[in-house]
Amino acid sequence: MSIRSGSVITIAFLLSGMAYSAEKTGGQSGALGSSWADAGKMPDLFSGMWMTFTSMIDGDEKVNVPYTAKAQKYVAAYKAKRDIPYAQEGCLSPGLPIAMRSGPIKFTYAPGLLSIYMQGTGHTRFIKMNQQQGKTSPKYYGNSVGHWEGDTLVVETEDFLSEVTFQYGVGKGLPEEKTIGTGNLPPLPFSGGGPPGAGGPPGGGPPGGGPPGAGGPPGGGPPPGVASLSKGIWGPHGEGMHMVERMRLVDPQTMELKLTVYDDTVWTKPYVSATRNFKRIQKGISEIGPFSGEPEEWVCTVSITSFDPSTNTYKDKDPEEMVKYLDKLKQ
Amino acid sequence: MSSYFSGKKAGWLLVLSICTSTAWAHHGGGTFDPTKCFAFKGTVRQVAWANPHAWLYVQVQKGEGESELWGFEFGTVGGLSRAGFRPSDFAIGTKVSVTAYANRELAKHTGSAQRLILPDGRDVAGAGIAGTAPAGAPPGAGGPPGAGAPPPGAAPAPAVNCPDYK
Repeated sequence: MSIRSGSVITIAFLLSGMAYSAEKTGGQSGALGSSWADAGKMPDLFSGMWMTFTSMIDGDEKVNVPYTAKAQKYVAAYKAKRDIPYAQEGCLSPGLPIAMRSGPIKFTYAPGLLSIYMQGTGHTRFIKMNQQQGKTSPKYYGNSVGHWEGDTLVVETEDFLSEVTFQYGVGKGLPEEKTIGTGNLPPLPFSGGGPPGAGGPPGGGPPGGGPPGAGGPPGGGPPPGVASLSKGIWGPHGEGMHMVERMRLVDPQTMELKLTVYDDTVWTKPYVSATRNFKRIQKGISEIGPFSGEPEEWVCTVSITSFDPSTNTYKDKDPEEMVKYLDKLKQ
Repeated sequence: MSSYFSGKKAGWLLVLSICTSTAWAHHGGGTFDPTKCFAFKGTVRQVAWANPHAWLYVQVQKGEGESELWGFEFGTVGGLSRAGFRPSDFAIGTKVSVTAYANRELAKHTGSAQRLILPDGRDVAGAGIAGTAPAGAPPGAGGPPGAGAPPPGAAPAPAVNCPDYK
Protein backbone atom coordinates (compact mmCIF):
# COMPACT_ATOMS: atom_id res chain seq x y z
CA MET A 1 0.00 0.00 0.00
CA SER A 2 1.40 3.36 -0.96
CA ILE A 3 1.70 6.18 1.52
CA ARG A 4 -0.91 8.09 -0.46
CA SER A 5 -3.50 5.35 -0.44
CA GLY A 6 -2.83 4.80 3.26
CA SER A 7 -3.52 8.46 3.91
CA VAL A 8 -6.77 8.28 2.01
CA ILE A 9 -7.87 5.31 4.07
CA THR A 10 -6.83 7.08 7.26
CA ILE A 11 -8.74 10.22 6.33
CA ALA A 12 -11.80 8.18 5.35
CA PHE A 13 -11.60 6.35 8.68
CA LEU A 14 -11.34 9.61 10.60
CA LEU A 15 -14.25 11.11 8.68
CA SER A 16 -16.39 8.03 9.33
CA GLY A 17 -15.49 8.29 13.02
CA MET A 18 -16.49 11.94 13.07
CA ALA A 19 -19.73 11.15 11.31
CA TYR A 20 -20.46 8.38 13.82
CA SER A 21 -19.70 10.69 16.68
CA ALA A 22 -21.82 13.47 15.22
CA GLU A 23 -24.67 11.03 14.78
CA LYS A 24 -24.19 9.67 18.28
CA THR A 25 -24.28 13.10 19.83
CA GLY A 26 -26.72 14.48 17.32
CA GLY A 27 -24.18 17.20 16.80
CA GLN A 28 -22.86 18.75 13.67
CA SER A 29 -20.99 21.87 12.90
CA GLY A 30 -23.46 24.71 12.46
CA ALA A 31 -26.23 23.06 14.43
CA LEU A 32 -28.18 25.14 16.92
CA GLY A 33 -25.88 26.17 19.73
CA SER A 34 -22.80 26.73 17.62
CA SER A 35 -22.78 30.48 16.92
CA TRP A 36 -23.58 33.81 18.52
CA ALA A 37 -26.52 34.13 16.16
CA ASP A 38 -27.96 30.99 17.79
CA ALA A 39 -28.19 32.74 21.16
CA GLY A 40 -31.56 34.20 20.31
CA LYS A 41 -32.85 31.09 18.55
CA MET A 42 -32.57 28.61 21.39
CA PRO A 43 -35.40 28.07 23.86
CA ASP A 44 -34.87 30.48 26.74
CA LEU A 45 -33.13 28.47 29.42
CA PHE A 46 -30.99 31.49 30.19
CA SER A 47 -33.16 34.15 31.83
CA GLY A 48 -33.04 33.93 35.59
CA MET A 49 -32.28 30.66 37.32
CA TRP A 50 -34.04 27.32 37.73
CA MET A 51 -34.72 25.24 40.77
CA THR A 52 -36.40 21.95 41.55
CA PHE A 53 -38.24 21.86 44.84
CA THR A 54 -38.51 18.14 45.34
CA SER A 55 -36.10 16.02 47.32
CA MET A 56 -32.50 15.80 46.19
CA ILE A 57 -32.88 12.04 45.86
CA ASP A 58 -35.31 9.72 44.14
CA GLY A 59 -37.70 8.67 46.88
CA ASP A 60 -40.36 6.62 45.13
CA GLU A 61 -39.76 2.89 44.83
CA LYS A 62 -41.51 2.94 41.45
CA VAL A 63 -38.26 4.11 39.86
CA ASN A 64 -36.42 0.95 40.86
CA VAL A 65 -35.17 -1.30 38.07
CA PRO A 66 -33.76 -4.83 38.35
CA TYR A 67 -30.25 -5.08 39.76
CA THR A 68 -27.44 -7.21 38.43
CA ALA A 69 -26.53 -10.19 40.60
CA LYS A 70 -23.56 -8.29 42.01
CA ALA A 71 -25.62 -5.20 42.79
CA GLN A 72 -28.43 -7.30 44.24
CA LYS A 73 -25.98 -8.81 46.71
CA TYR A 74 -24.77 -5.31 47.60
CA VAL A 75 -28.31 -3.98 48.07
CA ALA A 76 -29.34 -6.99 50.18
CA ALA A 77 -26.51 -6.21 52.60
CA TYR A 78 -27.02 -2.44 52.45
CA LYS A 79 -27.77 -0.58 55.68
CA ALA A 80 -29.79 2.60 55.28
CA LYS A 81 -27.95 5.88 55.89
CA ARG A 82 -29.41 8.73 57.88
CA ASP A 83 -28.17 11.25 55.34
CA ILE A 84 -26.76 11.54 51.85
CA PRO A 85 -23.26 10.09 52.15
CA TYR A 86 -21.49 13.08 50.63
CA ALA A 87 -22.44 15.30 53.58
CA GLN A 88 -19.08 14.59 55.08
CA GLU A 89 -16.06 16.46 56.27
CA GLY A 90 -14.41 18.48 53.52
CA CYS A 91 -17.26 20.01 51.53
CA LEU A 92 -17.17 17.36 48.82
CA SER A 93 -19.48 17.72 45.85
CA PRO A 94 -22.03 14.95 45.32
CA GLY A 95 -21.45 15.18 41.57
CA LEU A 96 -24.30 14.55 39.15
CA PRO A 97 -27.22 14.36 39.26
CA ILE A 98 -27.62 15.58 42.87
CA ALA A 99 -25.72 18.84 42.33
CA MET A 100 -28.41 19.86 39.82
CA ARG A 101 -31.16 19.31 42.40
CA SER A 102 -29.94 21.12 45.45
CA GLY A 103 -30.03 24.81 44.73
CA PRO A 104 -30.73 27.25 41.94
CA ILE A 105 -28.97 26.57 38.64
CA LYS A 106 -28.00 29.13 36.00
CA PHE A 107 -27.53 28.47 32.28
CA THR A 108 -25.12 30.57 30.26
CA TYR A 109 -24.08 30.27 26.63
CA ALA A 110 -21.17 30.90 24.32
CA PRO A 111 -20.90 29.44 20.82
CA GLY A 112 -20.39 25.72 21.18
CA LEU A 113 -20.64 25.76 24.96
CA LEU A 114 -23.48 25.67 27.46
CA SER A 115 -22.51 26.14 31.09
CA ILE A 116 -24.62 25.43 34.16
CA TYR A 117 -23.66 27.09 37.45
CA MET A 118 -24.98 24.89 40.25
CA GLN A 119 -25.18 27.23 43.20
CA GLY A 120 -25.65 24.46 45.73
CA THR A 121 -22.10 23.35 45.18
CA GLY A 122 -20.68 26.60 43.81
CA HIS A 123 -19.48 24.65 40.78
CA THR A 124 -20.11 24.98 37.05
CA ARG A 125 -20.56 22.12 34.62
CA PHE A 126 -19.68 22.54 30.97
CA ILE A 127 -21.53 21.08 28.00
CA LYS A 128 -19.81 21.07 24.61
CA MET A 129 -22.46 21.69 22.00
CA ASN A 130 -22.54 19.83 18.71
CA GLN A 131 -19.10 18.40 19.27
CA GLN A 132 -17.46 15.06 19.74
CA GLN A 133 -16.79 13.84 23.22
CA GLY A 134 -13.12 13.35 22.42
CA LYS A 135 -10.65 12.09 24.97
CA THR A 136 -11.93 12.40 28.52
CA SER A 137 -10.73 11.99 32.06
CA PRO A 138 -12.93 11.17 35.05
CA LYS A 139 -14.60 14.14 36.74
CA TYR A 140 -17.23 14.84 39.43
CA TYR A 141 -19.56 16.15 36.76
CA GLY A 142 -18.34 13.81 34.05
CA ASN A 143 -17.76 15.01 30.50
CA SER A 144 -20.78 16.38 28.70
CA VAL A 145 -21.75 16.90 25.08
CA GLY A 146 -25.08 18.31 24.05
CA HIS A 147 -27.30 19.10 21.13
CA TRP A 148 -30.82 20.27 20.45
CA GLU A 149 -33.50 17.88 19.25
CA GLY A 150 -36.26 20.32 18.36
CA ASP A 151 -37.15 22.09 21.59
CA THR A 152 -35.27 19.61 23.76
CA LEU A 153 -31.69 20.01 24.97
CA VAL A 154 -30.13 16.55 25.05
CA VAL A 155 -26.99 16.18 27.17
CA GLU A 156 -24.93 13.00 27.27
CA THR A 157 -22.41 12.72 30.08
CA GLU A 158 -19.81 10.05 30.74
CA ASP A 159 -16.56 9.31 32.55
CA PHE A 160 -17.37 10.12 36.17
CA LEU A 161 -15.05 9.95 39.15
CA SER A 162 -15.67 7.01 41.44
CA GLU A 163 -16.36 9.46 44.30
CA VAL A 164 -19.67 10.62 42.80
CA THR A 165 -22.57 9.98 45.18
CA PHE A 166 -24.47 7.39 43.20
CA GLN A 167 -28.03 6.24 43.87
CA TYR A 168 -28.86 2.62 43.04
CA GLY A 169 -32.51 2.95 43.92
CA VAL A 170 -35.05 3.52 46.64
CA GLY A 171 -35.17 1.40 49.78
CA LYS A 172 -37.38 1.31 52.85
CA GLY A 173 -35.42 3.93 54.76
CA LEU A 174 -35.17 4.41 58.47
CA PRO A 175 -37.84 5.29 61.00
CA GLU A 176 -38.54 8.98 61.18
CA GLU A 177 -36.07 10.89 63.32
CA LYS A 178 -37.21 13.58 65.69
CA THR A 179 -34.50 16.03 64.89
CA ILE A 180 -34.31 19.69 64.17
CA GLY A 181 -31.82 21.92 62.47
CA THR A 182 -31.25 24.28 59.64
CA GLY A 183 -32.07 21.50 57.21
CA ASN A 184 -35.59 21.09 58.55
CA LEU A 185 -36.18 24.28 60.41
CA PRO A 186 -39.70 25.43 61.07
CA PRO A 187 -40.17 29.12 61.67
CA LEU A 188 -40.85 29.86 65.29
CA PRO A 189 -43.26 32.39 66.71
CA PHE A 190 -41.59 35.15 68.60
CA SER A 191 -42.42 38.54 69.96
CA GLY A 192 -41.64 40.39 66.77
CA GLY A 193 -43.52 38.04 64.48
CA GLY A 194 -46.89 38.54 62.93
CA PRO A 195 -48.57 40.29 60.11
CA PRO A 196 -47.68 43.78 58.93
CA GLY A 197 -48.43 46.23 61.63
CA ALA A 198 -47.69 43.69 64.27
CA GLY A 199 -43.98 44.00 63.71
CA GLY A 200 -42.58 41.60 61.17
CA PRO A 201 -39.16 40.19 61.88
CA PRO A 202 -36.42 42.74 61.16
CA GLY A 203 -34.38 40.33 59.09
CA GLY A 204 -37.30 39.33 57.00
CA GLY A 205 -37.95 35.89 58.34
CA PRO A 206 -41.42 34.53 57.94
CA PRO A 207 -43.65 35.84 60.64
CA GLY A 208 -45.48 33.82 63.18
CA GLY A 209 -46.25 30.20 62.89
CA GLY A 210 -44.40 27.49 64.62
CA PRO A 211 -44.12 23.91 65.55
CA PRO A 212 -46.50 22.25 67.88
CA GLY A 213 -45.83 21.65 71.49
CA ALA A 214 -42.28 21.94 72.64
CA GLY A 215 -40.93 22.57 69.19
CA GLY A 216 -41.30 19.43 67.15
CA PRO A 217 -41.64 19.95 63.42
CA PRO A 218 -45.17 20.52 62.16
CA GLY A 219 -47.06 17.30 62.07
CA GLY A 220 -44.68 15.82 64.54
CA GLY A 221 -41.97 14.89 62.10
CA PRO A 222 -39.51 16.24 59.61
CA PRO A 223 -40.77 17.22 56.18
CA PRO A 224 -40.89 14.54 53.51
CA GLY A 225 -37.74 15.76 51.82
CA VAL A 226 -35.71 15.17 54.94
CA ALA A 227 -37.43 12.01 56.04
CA SER A 228 -36.91 10.42 52.65
CA LEU A 229 -33.14 10.86 52.56
CA SER A 230 -32.57 7.55 54.30
CA LYS A 231 -34.50 5.81 51.51
CA GLY A 232 -31.63 6.33 49.12
CA ILE A 233 -29.50 3.29 48.37
CA TRP A 234 -25.98 4.47 47.60
CA GLY A 235 -23.13 2.52 46.11
CA PRO A 236 -20.21 2.42 43.70
CA HIS A 237 -20.84 2.87 40.01
CA GLY A 238 -19.14 1.17 37.12
CA GLU A 239 -16.51 2.93 35.03
CA GLY A 240 -18.85 3.00 32.08
CA MET A 241 -21.70 4.69 33.97
CA HIS A 242 -23.16 7.43 31.83
CA MET A 243 -26.34 9.45 31.74
CA VAL A 244 -28.58 11.28 29.32
CA GLU A 245 -30.56 14.34 30.35
CA ARG A 246 -33.37 15.72 28.25
CA MET A 247 -34.42 19.26 29.19
CA ARG A 248 -37.23 21.29 27.67
CA LEU A 249 -39.56 24.12 28.55
CA VAL A 250 -43.09 22.89 29.19
CA ASP A 251 -44.13 26.50 29.72
CA PRO A 252 -42.15 29.73 30.10
CA GLN A 253 -41.80 29.21 33.85
CA THR A 254 -41.22 25.45 33.94
CA MET A 255 -38.35 23.33 32.67
CA GLU A 256 -38.78 19.57 32.63
CA LEU A 257 -35.76 17.32 33.10
CA LYS A 258 -35.86 13.64 32.21
CA LEU A 259 -32.82 11.65 33.30
CA THR A 260 -31.78 8.18 32.25
CA VAL A 261 -28.71 6.56 33.82
CA TYR A 262 -26.89 3.63 32.26
CA ASP A 263 -24.67 1.28 34.25
CA ASP A 264 -24.72 -2.40 33.36
CA THR A 265 -22.69 -3.27 36.43
CA VAL A 266 -25.62 -2.13 38.60
CA TRP A 267 -28.82 -2.53 36.56
CA THR A 268 -30.01 -4.96 33.94
CA LYS A 269 -31.77 -2.11 32.15
CA PRO A 270 -31.45 1.70 32.17
CA TYR A 271 -32.50 3.54 35.30
CA VAL A 272 -35.07 6.23 34.55
CA SER A 273 -35.19 8.82 37.30
CA ALA A 274 -38.44 10.51 38.27
CA THR A 275 -39.12 13.41 35.88
CA ARG A 276 -38.43 16.71 37.60
CA ASN A 277 -39.85 20.14 37.00
CA PHE A 278 -37.64 23.15 37.62
CA LYS A 279 -39.29 26.52 38.25
CA ARG A 280 -37.85 29.67 36.74
CA ILE A 281 -36.71 32.21 39.30
CA GLN A 282 -36.28 35.67 37.83
CA LYS A 283 -35.61 38.94 39.58
CA GLY A 284 -38.70 41.10 39.79
CA ILE A 285 -40.77 38.58 37.87
CA SER A 286 -40.82 35.22 39.59
CA GLU A 287 -38.74 35.39 42.75
CA ILE A 288 -39.29 32.46 45.08
CA GLY A 289 -38.60 32.72 48.78
CA PRO A 290 -35.00 33.72 49.32
CA PHE A 291 -34.09 33.23 45.68
CA SER A 292 -33.97 36.33 43.52
CA GLY A 293 -32.84 34.66 40.31
CA GLU A 294 -29.40 36.24 40.51
CA PRO A 295 -26.57 33.79 41.07
CA GLU A 296 -24.70 33.99 44.35
CA GLU A 297 -21.25 32.86 45.37
CA TRP A 298 -21.06 29.61 47.28
CA VAL A 299 -17.71 28.74 48.81
CA CYS A 300 -17.70 25.89 51.29
CA THR A 301 -14.87 26.32 53.75
CA VAL A 302 -15.30 24.36 56.93
CA SER A 303 -17.60 21.51 57.94
CA ILE A 304 -18.31 22.07 61.62
CA THR A 305 -21.03 19.44 61.62
CA SER A 306 -20.40 16.47 59.40
CA PHE A 307 -21.99 13.13 58.67
CA ASP A 308 -19.98 9.93 58.83
CA PRO A 309 -21.67 7.32 56.63
CA SER A 310 -19.47 4.54 57.98
CA THR A 311 -20.87 4.96 61.49
CA ASN A 312 -24.15 6.61 60.42
CA THR A 313 -23.55 9.40 62.92
CA TYR A 314 -23.21 13.17 62.93
CA LYS A 315 -20.38 14.94 64.62
CA ASP A 316 -20.11 18.55 65.75
CA LYS A 317 -16.64 19.94 66.20
CA ASP A 318 -15.92 20.80 69.81
CA PRO A 319 -16.59 24.51 70.51
CA GLU A 320 -13.32 24.95 72.44
CA GLU A 321 -11.33 23.53 69.54
CA MET A 322 -13.20 25.67 67.02
CA VAL A 323 -12.61 28.87 68.98
CA LYS A 324 -8.89 28.08 69.15
CA TYR A 325 -8.88 27.38 65.42
CA LEU A 326 -10.74 30.58 64.58
CA ASP A 327 -8.58 32.68 66.95
CA LYS A 328 -5.50 31.42 65.14
CA LEU A 329 -7.05 31.87 61.70
CA LYS A 330 -7.91 35.52 62.40
CA GLN A 331 -4.62 36.56 64.00
CA MET B 1 -51.22 35.94 66.60
CA SER B 2 -52.35 34.03 63.57
CA SER B 3 -50.42 31.08 62.35
CA TYR B 4 -48.72 31.62 59.04
CA PHE B 5 -47.40 28.14 59.18
CA SER B 6 -50.12 26.19 57.57
CA GLY B 7 -51.04 24.24 54.49
CA LYS B 8 -49.35 24.86 51.21
CA LYS B 9 -47.20 27.69 52.46
CA ALA B 10 -45.80 25.57 55.26
CA GLY B 11 -44.77 22.96 52.75
CA TRP B 12 -42.99 25.50 50.60
CA LEU B 13 -41.19 26.98 53.55
CA LEU B 14 -39.92 23.59 54.53
CA VAL B 15 -38.88 22.75 51.03
CA LEU B 16 -37.11 26.06 50.74
CA SER B 17 -35.34 25.51 54.00
CA ILE B 18 -34.12 22.16 52.75
CA CYS B 19 -33.11 23.42 49.38
CA THR B 20 -31.38 26.67 50.28
CA SER B 21 -28.08 25.05 49.55
CA THR B 22 -26.86 21.61 48.89
CA ALA B 23 -23.42 21.58 50.35
CA TRP B 24 -24.79 21.19 53.81
CA ALA B 25 -22.60 19.43 56.24
CA HIS B 26 -25.83 17.68 56.99
CA HIS B 27 -29.31 17.72 55.53
CA GLY B 28 -31.49 16.54 58.35
CA GLY B 29 -31.64 17.76 61.90
CA GLY B 30 -28.46 15.95 62.69
CA THR B 31 -27.66 16.05 66.34
CA PHE B 32 -30.24 18.51 67.63
CA ASP B 33 -33.11 17.63 69.92
CA PRO B 34 -36.46 19.29 69.12
CA THR B 35 -37.55 18.92 72.75
CA LYS B 36 -34.60 20.82 74.25
CA CYS B 37 -35.03 24.48 73.43
CA PHE B 38 -33.33 27.12 75.57
CA ALA B 39 -32.66 30.85 75.53
CA PHE B 40 -28.92 31.39 75.96
CA LYS B 41 -27.40 34.74 76.94
CA GLY B 42 -23.74 35.56 76.74
CA THR B 43 -20.91 37.21 74.85
CA VAL B 44 -19.46 36.33 71.47
CA ARG B 45 -16.17 34.44 71.58
CA GLN B 46 -15.86 33.82 67.85
CA VAL B 47 -17.85 33.58 64.64
CA ALA B 48 -17.27 31.16 61.79
CA TRP B 49 -18.66 33.16 58.87
CA ALA B 50 -18.55 30.12 56.65
CA ASN B 51 -20.46 27.75 54.43
CA PRO B 52 -22.07 25.28 54.58
CA HIS B 53 -23.15 26.72 57.95
CA ALA B 54 -22.16 29.77 59.93
CA TRP B 55 -21.51 29.15 63.62
CA LEU B 56 -21.51 31.58 66.51
CA TYR B 57 -19.49 30.72 69.60
CA VAL B 58 -20.83 32.29 72.76
CA GLN B 59 -19.62 32.26 76.35
CA VAL B 60 -22.97 31.53 77.91
CA GLN B 61 -23.98 32.60 81.42
CA LYS B 62 -24.99 29.73 83.64
CA GLY B 63 -26.11 30.41 87.16
CA GLU B 64 -24.27 32.77 89.46
CA GLY B 65 -20.91 33.71 88.02
CA GLU B 66 -20.55 30.55 85.95
CA SER B 67 -20.29 30.28 82.21
CA GLU B 68 -19.88 27.72 79.43
CA LEU B 69 -18.74 27.95 75.82
CA TRP B 70 -21.47 26.99 73.37
CA GLY B 71 -21.50 26.79 69.58
CA PHE B 72 -24.67 27.65 67.68
CA GLU B 73 -25.31 26.64 64.11
CA PHE B 74 -26.96 29.14 61.77
CA GLY B 75 -27.87 29.05 58.08
CA THR B 76 -25.63 29.75 55.15
CA VAL B 77 -23.51 32.85 54.70
CA GLY B 78 -25.84 33.92 51.89
CA GLY B 79 -28.86 33.48 54.12
CA LEU B 80 -27.37 35.50 56.96
CA SER B 81 -26.40 38.20 54.48
CA ARG B 82 -29.92 38.34 53.12
CA ALA B 83 -31.16 38.65 56.68
CA GLY B 84 -28.98 41.74 56.96
CA PHE B 85 -25.99 40.45 58.90
CA ARG B 86 -22.29 40.98 58.38
CA PRO B 87 -19.40 39.28 60.16
CA SER B 88 -18.69 42.54 61.97
CA ASP B 89 -22.05 42.21 63.76
CA PHE B 90 -20.47 39.43 65.78
CA ALA B 91 -17.36 41.11 67.12
CA ILE B 92 -15.75 39.35 70.07
CA GLY B 93 -17.40 40.53 73.27
CA THR B 94 -20.74 41.42 71.68
CA LYS B 95 -23.64 40.57 73.98
CA VAL B 96 -26.14 38.27 72.29
CA SER B 97 -29.17 36.19 73.09
CA VAL B 98 -29.57 32.97 71.13
CA THR B 99 -32.57 30.69 71.33
CA ALA B 100 -31.54 27.25 70.18
CA TYR B 101 -32.33 23.58 70.19
CA ALA B 102 -29.54 21.84 72.04
CA ASN B 103 -27.56 18.82 71.01
CA ARG B 104 -29.06 15.51 72.07
CA GLU B 105 -25.95 15.20 74.19
CA LEU B 106 -26.19 18.38 76.23
CA ALA B 107 -22.53 18.17 77.23
CA LYS B 108 -21.54 18.76 73.60
CA HIS B 109 -22.57 22.41 74.07
CA THR B 110 -23.83 22.85 70.54
CA GLY B 111 -27.23 24.00 69.35
CA SER B 112 -29.29 24.80 66.30
CA ALA B 113 -30.05 28.53 66.44
CA GLN B 114 -33.67 29.57 66.02
CA ARG B 115 -33.62 33.15 67.19
CA LEU B 116 -30.94 35.78 67.57
CA ILE B 117 -31.11 39.10 69.42
CA LEU B 118 -28.31 41.65 69.08
CA PRO B 119 -27.65 44.66 71.33
CA ASP B 120 -28.83 47.07 68.62
CA GLY B 121 -32.31 45.58 68.83
CA ARG B 122 -32.21 43.32 65.81
CA ASP B 123 -34.34 40.30 66.60
CA VAL B 124 -34.47 37.61 63.96
CA ALA B 125 -36.03 34.20 64.26
CA GLY B 126 -36.90 31.01 62.44
CA ALA B 127 -36.30 30.81 58.74
CA GLY B 128 -34.82 34.33 58.77
CA ILE B 129 -31.64 33.15 60.38
CA ALA B 130 -31.65 29.92 58.46
CA GLY B 131 -31.51 31.94 55.30
CA THR B 132 -34.84 30.89 53.97
CA ALA B 133 -36.36 34.32 53.56
CA PRO B 134 -34.94 37.41 51.94
CA ALA B 135 -34.16 40.54 53.88
CA GLY B 136 -37.17 42.76 54.21
CA ALA B 137 -39.45 40.12 52.84
CA PRO B 138 -43.09 40.69 53.52
CA PRO B 139 -45.22 38.02 55.11
CA GLY B 140 -45.77 35.29 52.58
CA ALA B 141 -42.44 35.82 50.86
CA GLY B 142 -41.21 32.55 52.21
CA GLY B 143 -43.60 30.70 49.97
CA PRO B 144 -44.19 30.69 46.26
CA PRO B 145 -45.62 33.70 44.52
CA GLY B 146 -49.24 33.94 45.37
CA ALA B 147 -48.94 31.96 48.55
CA GLY B 148 -49.85 35.14 50.34
CA ALA B 149 -51.19 35.57 53.80
CA PRO B 150 -52.51 32.81 56.02
CA PRO B 151 -56.00 31.61 55.40
CA PRO B 152 -58.67 33.44 57.36
CA GLY B 153 -59.36 31.82 60.65
CA ALA B 154 -56.07 29.95 60.77
CA ALA B 155 -55.45 28.44 64.16
CA PRO B 156 -53.21 30.44 66.49
CA ALA B 157 -49.68 29.16 66.71
CA PRO B 158 -49.01 27.33 69.93
CA ALA B 159 -46.60 29.05 72.25
CA VAL B 160 -43.07 27.75 72.22
CA ASN B 161 -41.61 27.49 75.64
CA CYS B 162 -37.86 28.01 75.52
CA PRO B 163 -36.76 28.70 79.06
CA ASP B 164 -33.55 30.47 79.96
CA TYR B 165 -30.58 28.15 80.06
CA LYS B 166 -29.43 27.81 83.65
